[in-house]
Formats: sequence, C-alpha cells, structure tokens
Amino acid sequence: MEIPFVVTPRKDTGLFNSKIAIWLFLASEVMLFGGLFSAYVFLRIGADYPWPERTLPVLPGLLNTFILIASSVTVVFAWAALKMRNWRQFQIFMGATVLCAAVFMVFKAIEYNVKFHHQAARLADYSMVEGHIDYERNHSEGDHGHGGEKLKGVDGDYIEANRHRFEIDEMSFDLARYHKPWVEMTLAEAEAQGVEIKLASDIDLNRAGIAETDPSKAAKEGEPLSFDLLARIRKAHLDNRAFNSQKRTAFLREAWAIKKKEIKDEDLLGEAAFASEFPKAFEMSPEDKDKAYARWKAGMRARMATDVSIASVKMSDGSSVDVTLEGKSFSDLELPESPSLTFKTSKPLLVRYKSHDVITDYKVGNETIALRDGTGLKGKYADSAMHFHYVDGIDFQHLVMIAEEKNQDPLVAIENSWLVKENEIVAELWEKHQKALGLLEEKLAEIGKEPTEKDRYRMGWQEIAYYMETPLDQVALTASNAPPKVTMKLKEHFMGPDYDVRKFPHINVPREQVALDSKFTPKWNTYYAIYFTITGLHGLHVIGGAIVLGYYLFCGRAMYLSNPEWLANRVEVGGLFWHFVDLVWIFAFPIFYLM
Amino acid sequence: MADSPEEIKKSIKLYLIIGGALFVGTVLTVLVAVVPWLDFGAHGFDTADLIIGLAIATTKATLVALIFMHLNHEKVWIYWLFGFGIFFAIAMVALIFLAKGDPIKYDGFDLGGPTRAAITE
Repeated sequence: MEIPFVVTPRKDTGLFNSKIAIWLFLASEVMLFGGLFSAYVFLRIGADYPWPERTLPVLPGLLNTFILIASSVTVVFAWAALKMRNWRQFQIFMGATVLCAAVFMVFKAIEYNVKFHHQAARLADYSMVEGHIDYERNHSEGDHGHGGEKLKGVDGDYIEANRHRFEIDEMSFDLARYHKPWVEMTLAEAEAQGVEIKLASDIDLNRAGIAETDPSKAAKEGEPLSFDLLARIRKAHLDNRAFNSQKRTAFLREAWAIKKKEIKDEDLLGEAAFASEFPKAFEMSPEDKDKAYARWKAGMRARMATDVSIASVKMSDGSSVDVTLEGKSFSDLELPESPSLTFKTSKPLLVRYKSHDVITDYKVGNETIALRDGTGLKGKYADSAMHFHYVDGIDFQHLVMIAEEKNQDPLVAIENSWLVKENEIVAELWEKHQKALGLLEEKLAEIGKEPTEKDRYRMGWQEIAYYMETPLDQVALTASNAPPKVTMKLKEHFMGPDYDVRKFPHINVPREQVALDSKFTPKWNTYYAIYFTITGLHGLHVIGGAIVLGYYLFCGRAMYLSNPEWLANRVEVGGLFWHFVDLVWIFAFPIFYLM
Repeated sequence: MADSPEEIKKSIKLYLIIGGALFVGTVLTVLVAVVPWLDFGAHGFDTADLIIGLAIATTKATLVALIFMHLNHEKVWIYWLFGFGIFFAIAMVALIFLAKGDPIKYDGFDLGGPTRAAITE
C-alpha cells in the first residue's frame, strides 16, 4: 500500500505528514526542556548554598558549541544536496554531521569522566575541599604521606582512601534485605585476612507439633557464614512469617466475630445506647440527631477496635474473652521467626564501605554502624580519614554564608576553620590569597568595582597551583590585573590540572570533620544534579539524532534511487530535530558554563 | 521555503552567513563572560551578564529557528503548533510564581557581584 502525503503536501495543511509530526514532537520537546530549564531556575533561586558560578571549564563547552553549530550547517547542506539530487555531496555533508555528533559525545564523555573522578568534601564547618583522592597504601597506620605502595582490594581494584573502615566483631544481616555483593565482599575480605565468620548462636525455626520438622530450618552455633546458610534461614523465616500471617488473620476474624456478636446481642450501637449517653441529641432536629448518631457510631466503632486483639477480646462489661480456634490460641500455633541472623568474627575483620552505604552518622568511638541494606555491625572504626592526594580547590563561600547568618565575622570564621587552623600549608595559601585579594580590591576600586564572593572566598586549582609555586612577597596580579593564577595548558582545559607538573597540598581530613563527601555527581549538590539532568538528556538527543541521520546516510541509497524527494523530506525532518538539539545547547552552554 | 534547486543554491550562501553569525555570537558570549574589560555591570557574574548572555543566546536561537528550521516562511499550521508549545511552556512555569503561601524567595537569588561590601569595611 502506498503511504499518502510523504512527498506531496496535504491540501488542508499544505504540509507532508512527517513535517506536521516532527513539529508536534518538537513542541512537546520545548515543554520538556522548558520544564527542566525552569527547574534549573528554581533550584538556583532556592539554593541554600552558594551556587557554583562559572565552575565548568569553558573551552570544552565552547568547542562543543562550535561543533554543534557546524553540524547544523552541514545537515542543512546535506538536505540541500539531496534537493539538488547530488548524492555524493549529501554523503559528505551528512557524514560530517554524524562525525560532529561523535566528537561532541567524546568531549562530553571526557568532561563527565573528569567529574566522576574528582572528589569533594564538605567539612563540619562548611568549608569545602576538592581534589584528587589518594589510594590506600601499605604504609603503617597513622603515616599518611605519599609513600607506600597502592593497595588493591579484594575485587582487584585500587582502594580509594575515602572509605569508612570498620573492624567488625559481630555482624547481623537483615535476611529479607541483605545485599549479596556486600556479603560476597565480606567473605572475600575474611578469606584474605584469615578471619572466620561464624553463626553467633543456635537457631531453630521448627516447632514440634505445629509444622513438620525440617532440618534445613535450623543451624548450629559456629556454622560458617555462607549464602546457603543465609538463603536457608531466610526461606524458613519467610515461610514461617507467611504461616503466622495466615493464622493471625484467622484469629483476628474470630476476635471480631466475638465482638460483633456482642454488639448485636447487647445492641451496643443501637439508638437506645446512644440515647442513654446523649439524651440531649433527641432534642435536636431529626436531621441533626441522625448526623450526631452517625458520628457517635463511627466513634464507638473506632474505640471498640482497641478492644479486639488476636489473643483476647475485651467485652463491654470489662471482662475478657480468650480467642481460640479449635481450642488453641494463636501463641499455641505461632511458628518462630528470625528477621536477622547474627555472626561473630574470630578476630576483628577490616571492611571498607563507601560513605553513602553507611547510614549511621560517624562519631569518634562509634561501636555500631548500620548499612543501607539493614546490616548491623559491631566493632570499632579503624582510621577512616579522607586522604586528598592533591587538593585543587578550597572554598569558604558556604562557610561565610553560614557565618553571616549567625552574624559572625566571615574572616574570623575562616581563620578559625579546621583547614586554616590545622593545616599550615592551607594557612599559607590563605595568607597569599588575602594579599592577592587586597591587590585586586585596589585595582577594582579604581574603576568603582569590587571582587565577587568567589574571588574572595574560593581558591580554585589555578590559584592554588600559583600560590604553591610563588613566595608571599612575589604574589602579584596578572598583566591584565586579573587575580593571579597559573596559565592552563591545552590538556588541562579538558582533563583538569596536570598533577605531575603542578604542586598541590596533600591533606588528610579526619572522618569526624567530614560532613558530606562525594564525587562531582548529582549527590554533591543541586547544581551538579541539574547539570547532569539537562546535559545528559541533551546528550541522549545527540545520540538519537545521530542514529537517525546515520541511518539516512548508510541506508538511504535505495530510497534515493526510487524516490529521492521522499528521502529529502525525511532528511529535512531529521534535520529539524538536529537543529532543535543545537537550539537547546545554545541555552545550556551559557547557563552552565558561563553564568 | 526554498524548494527549487535554483532557490536552494541561493539559500546556501545565507546558511553559511548564519553559521558564521552563530560562531561570532558564541565567541561574543564567551568574551563577555571571561574578558575583564568586557565585563558589564559589577565585577564578575551579575544581572547585566545574565541579560547579555541570554540576549545573545536568544538571538542565536532565533536565527537557527528562522533560517535553518525555515520558520521565516513556513505554513500557518507549524506556527500554531510550535507557538502553542512555547506559550504553554512559559505559561505553566509562570503559574509557579503565583505561589503566595510559600513564595519563591527572590531575595535569595544572589547573582554574585559586590553584595557583601559590609564585610570588608
């Protein structure tokens, strides 16, 4: 069957079908991205922390903008080539468009990858440390210099020095929720460290006379931790719980039957009972009395519900009736349940957890912690400081914001911050920064301007690298009177600072100073959350568009030979989508990279 | 819309010019943001930079829509479809600003600039 209006326009709209369709789709896309951009605006307006301004490297974003503009030109040229029936030119321009899409995604991937590997921590006093996290090394406890060999974890990967390190004496698994990979990791650690993990006490979920005795429902104290054991007891627990639920329902039904019988026999909810309690209601109008009566009945039913339980029913005269089925009470039939299973270690077992997997707050001397899967651990914390191999960002903007809310002098607050007080290098950096800031203030005052909050309270990696290599008395503004900083090399625009060449301080942040730690991911703050949402969705559009345009390029030849105008129309529609993708980026680029 | 090969040939020059204009607009946006002597308003990012940045972006977007997407001479159906999309996107977001009980806090919108002069005095 021939599809109408793929080449010739419809009489009523003057358009071929797919054009109407793509514009309908683009209209819905406008609303989708409009909604996300407004989410950005509301997050920025409502942020209770200093919004990161101009924090992304501009060059990769700028190049990506050029690439998308170039691809918008090439895609319209590809369409024009088809219209002029020049297949070879179409191939060249469409090929260039798809290539642009690929390069865009490569830059995007590099940018994302740098974010995923860049560590940040908000300290208890709201100062921020950013940088490159070290790996655990085999130097002795307490010695956290650069030396030592990097340690590999049981999974074969290097262990980032940002983990909660806990020495386990006892662990209790939530049988319904335990996370299998963590149990695997615990077993591997135990094997590597020569630790035995054994069941802490006998467990038996059988009950003679009620259900058939099943040896798989029991385990002896000292049985080693294994998935088989966890799965076995988990099944027994869930089976017993299902059995008990059924019984509980049956006993509750029986209990209500007793209560309902009493209500009926004694007419506890009858008008007579109501009248004896509220005689005045009968002086009201019949409608009002009926309403009052209905309310009274509802209230009485709610109160009576508390008289009913699985074991017994409290009667209106104060007596109590035991609930039984075939002469047996619920407790006679109830099977034992075991929601968790506890194990002991033969000696303290050192296990490392990512901070978001530990749901209890860190406290010095903590002896119990809980994990996200309901596992409870007893033991003690080993040294869990975060080791920043290279600190390439120190930010006091949030600390200043909090200090101002408390009417404190921001500079005093910074002087008293853990970073400046405890770390001599940071104190030196801050001193140099103060000098540079003074020079900047002088220069800006000449043109009636002042430094921004970011100028005042944030030292980015270029500033830190500059301060690290410049003595205090040589700190000076740049030739163009900008704040002093090292000049970025091309590679550094994309990959961040070159740690082999630049000098950065090494800082160990004790765990009790860490309020929040994260890579530069949505977890870190709403800025990165909305950044990944919008640029991520845009990236998916780039991929989707490239697939469609690539299909025309590689599979369009047959259609071109049979009906070139149809292919031209398809390319026009694909091109419209591609221009829209460019259009979104035209706004995303300045908003995320320049504002 | 350019449809005959002759018209399309003519349009190609226009596409190149628009492509060039988009490049220039992008460079301009970046220069305004990073070059100190092109920094309008207060030092650093502030409302002036916001307005200039968005104005350039809107101009670029308009060029793309009008020329590359052929909205400068399109059928009336398309105007209605796309117009409705934009109108409702803006109108629906605008509804949020009507909140009075727990209003959007405009005073919390710190656009940078010298807002904390008192600190240094």
